[in-house]
Amino acid sequence: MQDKMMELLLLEQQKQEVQRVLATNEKTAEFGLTLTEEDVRELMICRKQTLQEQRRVEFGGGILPALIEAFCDSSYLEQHEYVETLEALQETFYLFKNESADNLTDQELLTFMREQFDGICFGSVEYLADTCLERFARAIRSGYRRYTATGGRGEYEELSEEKRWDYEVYMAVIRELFDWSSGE
Amino acid sequence: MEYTMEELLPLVSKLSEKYTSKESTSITYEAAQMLMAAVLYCLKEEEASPEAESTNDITTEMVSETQAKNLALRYQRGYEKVVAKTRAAKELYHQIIGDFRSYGNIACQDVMVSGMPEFFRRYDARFKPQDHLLTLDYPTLIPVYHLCGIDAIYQYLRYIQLEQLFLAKLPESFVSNVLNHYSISHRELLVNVAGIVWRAVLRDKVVNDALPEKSCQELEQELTWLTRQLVEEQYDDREDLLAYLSADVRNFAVELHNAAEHDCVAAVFSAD
Repeated sequence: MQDKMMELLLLEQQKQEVQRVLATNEKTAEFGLTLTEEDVRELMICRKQTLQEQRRVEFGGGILPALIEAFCDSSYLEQHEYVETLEALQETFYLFKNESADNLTDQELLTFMREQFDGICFGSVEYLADTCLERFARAIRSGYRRYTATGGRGEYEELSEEKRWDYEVYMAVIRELFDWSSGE
Repeated sequence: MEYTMEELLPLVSKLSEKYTSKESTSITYEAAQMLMAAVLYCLKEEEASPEAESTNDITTEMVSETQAKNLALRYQRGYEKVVAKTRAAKELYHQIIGDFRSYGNIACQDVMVSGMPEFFRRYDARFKPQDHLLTLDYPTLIPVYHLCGIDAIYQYLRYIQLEQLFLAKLPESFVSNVLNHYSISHRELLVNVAGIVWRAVLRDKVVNDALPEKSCQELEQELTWLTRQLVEEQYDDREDLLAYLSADVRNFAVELHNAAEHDCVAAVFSAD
């Protein structure tokens, strides 16, 4: 029953989805990013595989237009790897819908993903999935719910386990290097 | 009535939007299965009603678009029926619980006093109408295992009401003696109290010297007649109570017949 349901849904959605995704070119073109019909079909195939792997069903419109909308103005997206990055992001999205036990809404997850992708991940989908989202999902499974108030914004600070190059750390190293304190 | 997946999917899709508050484009297989079962449950509920037949006649003459609308309408009516049945079950429960007696049976007490209020608090008619949440450990004389959701609970409550009606007419000391004779640990057993007492009521009339000579069929007829007489005289000839108690007639007849053959009739009335 599940397989038939999936097949029918995907067939119906595919017809409308291609047009919806192609329509995003209008906006993304200004950032130098466009998709051909062939690219979109490749992304659809990838979506089908991911949904099956993650044992999920998608009704109505897929997540791809929203995903493109959320990421298109990122400075880490390049035309030559646009399709591959979208595939990876799409896969990560569905994986972490499951990993968060469906507690996150699409928008909360997209907001979190986009913020970290441009922030501490410096455009690495791998770091986003394996570190940031992994920690976020683990916290959610343990009952963390602050993101409902923030909509997924500014969430990683609390979850990060690494000391980063923030202003104070930077200044401390500078002081150490140039031994400013002893000169005073 | 059978539905194709193509007919059902728009309904499941709509229900999925409600389930996720339109905040998620996808759901897990398990959630999709649950929603599909919810749609089928409501459609089945609608089919079971008399108005459903007239709708069927119209459907065959309609074009597919109208059929889809019609199915959505039928689903909605089915859902409303589930909600109405839940309300009726709650009213029935309140009628029963006022004078409810578990006669010391822990399972019965648990289901009726702790379980049922929790059921009414948590039952989800929209997304999980097929899930009746409770394990219904206390067995009724007629099982409700073939039912699910509010159908199971409503039927179960009706049976409990009949049991309470039957037992309430008997002196409590009599019921207590019968149960103690049945087993010293009758409180912990998952047994039907009304069935044990009903057997004890008929005991003197059916257990006599002529018992070993009677065939199983004869015994069954005799027990049916005795039960009818009992219900006619003591319970205003209530057909529903007669049907309920009669559900155990065959088992009782077979047990008595076997016990008489092996000279252990007392064991039929005692579990110890």
